[in-house]
Amino acid sequence: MEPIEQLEPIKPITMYDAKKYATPTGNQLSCKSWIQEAALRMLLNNLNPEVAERPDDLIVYGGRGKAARNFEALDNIIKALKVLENDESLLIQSGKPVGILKTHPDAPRVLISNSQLVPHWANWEHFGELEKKGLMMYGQMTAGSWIYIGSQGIVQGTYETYAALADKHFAQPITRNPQPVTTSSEPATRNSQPATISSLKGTLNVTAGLGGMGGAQPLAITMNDGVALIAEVEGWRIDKRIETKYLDEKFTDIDAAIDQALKYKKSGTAKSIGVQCNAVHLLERLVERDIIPDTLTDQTSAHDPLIGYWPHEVSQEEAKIMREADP
Amino acid sequence: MFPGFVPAYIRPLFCEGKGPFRWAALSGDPNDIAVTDAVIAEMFPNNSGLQRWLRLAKEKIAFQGLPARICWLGQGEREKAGFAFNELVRTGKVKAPIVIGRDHLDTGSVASPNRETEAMLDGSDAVADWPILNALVNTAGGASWVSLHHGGGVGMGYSIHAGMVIVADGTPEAAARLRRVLRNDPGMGVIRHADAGYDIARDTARAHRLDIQERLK
Repeated sequence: MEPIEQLEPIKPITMYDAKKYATPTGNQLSCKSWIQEAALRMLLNNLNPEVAERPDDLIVYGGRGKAARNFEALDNIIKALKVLENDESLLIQSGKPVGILKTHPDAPRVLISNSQLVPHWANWEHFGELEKKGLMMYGQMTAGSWIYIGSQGIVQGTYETYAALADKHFAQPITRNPQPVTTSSEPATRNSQPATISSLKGTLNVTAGLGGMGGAQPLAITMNDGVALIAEVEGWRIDKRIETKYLDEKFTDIDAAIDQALKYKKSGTAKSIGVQCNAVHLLERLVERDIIPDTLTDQTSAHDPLIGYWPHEVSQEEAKIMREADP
Repeated sequence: MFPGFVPAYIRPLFCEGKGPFRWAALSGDPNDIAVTDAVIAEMFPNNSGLQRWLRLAKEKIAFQGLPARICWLGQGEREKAGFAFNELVRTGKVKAPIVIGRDHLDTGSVASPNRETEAMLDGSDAVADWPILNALVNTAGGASWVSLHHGGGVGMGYSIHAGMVIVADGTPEAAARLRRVLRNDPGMGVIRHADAGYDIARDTARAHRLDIQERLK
């Protein structure tokens, strides 16, 4: 269950203006120091259409995580950051600037509290009422605190999880030295040589779902030198991931996809394969062929019974009609 | 039942103060990130996972908005990186200041019993004093902006978490703030996990002089 999806998004009063809200770059200040300037640039960067999911709703990521409560609040935050002195702090209450108070130069220039509710009222229902009245905003994590940097964060988190998994389960004696990236002319000093190296080299990693979260998996797996075999019901998602270089190959035939993945596993080639099918059918075929993957995960949205889950007994076309006609 | 991905794979990293350290080039120039990538690669030559990540991220990840980089660094490493970035700004090796931050999903900044603090060794999953102390100590230490949020990641009623951002503008004052904040921020995570009884965290706390027992002797 994702309670986030149950609330209706509030209709925007103003639309995002790409020119007005463009992130300043370069080394000229429009605020009174680099700290205020950094806050201004990171706030606007969070809303950059390249970064944000829905700039028109001020939504950065994660369903409904916002950078500012509404466009009026956004304009006032921008103004406040520009007038803020180097010994003052700006207070943000759920995405709205509410005060500028005297502090001192080493204090934070901005103090933010988002979506805080007294525990007894800390639920979506009450939050929704307050949001409708314009009293609150959902800040997610880095949306309302102005430090979201796009999908790199998701890829890295997934990469780190697979790397830790490889460390725990697939550590191998060292056969080669990793070559550090360095522009220095001095040789990198090594005071302790690790006895093992862990990667997913020569492993078959099966998973499902190539949406917002799952799309990071093929890249995280191949970055760890493993083979990824991923079931995705919707063909366009596979194409999109190939386009952005997150995924390497597309198959529509399950057996052909499995054969190709096994070939890469044998040769230790880091490749990712998307196969257009239901995860259940891929897993059934793996069981029938007696193939045990080295790792198995799921990143589909099957927790959402209407939008995310595709039952394997029904064709995608039929399911689509059923979703709309009889939700 | 399978344990969640945090207790299984992420928590041992949290115990060493490791978490999603990130930074962005305020100049907007991708070359500033290339300069910082090279500094990080040089600084941690033995971390093969980090080396591979930096090499491949450069090749495979397109920047969105201001050029930025993320990599997991631990206790001691973050302050070293922050200080080095401040030097890059001071000496003009990058074109404008670097802004440093992290996700709220980090070692010392979140209480979220269904995810980040699932199945803590001492059962302290729902204790939210830790993220609040994190926000307070980062405010006292002089972070550039500090945030305290509710409900991120898992929804209303299920999490309390704090954010921290600090700017490396090349000044000596920023260097002092960076030293404090980038030590204390992951340090809160080491302390939180040591308090919950994790051996790795206790060792890290001792190695980095974060163990209160040492001070009470």
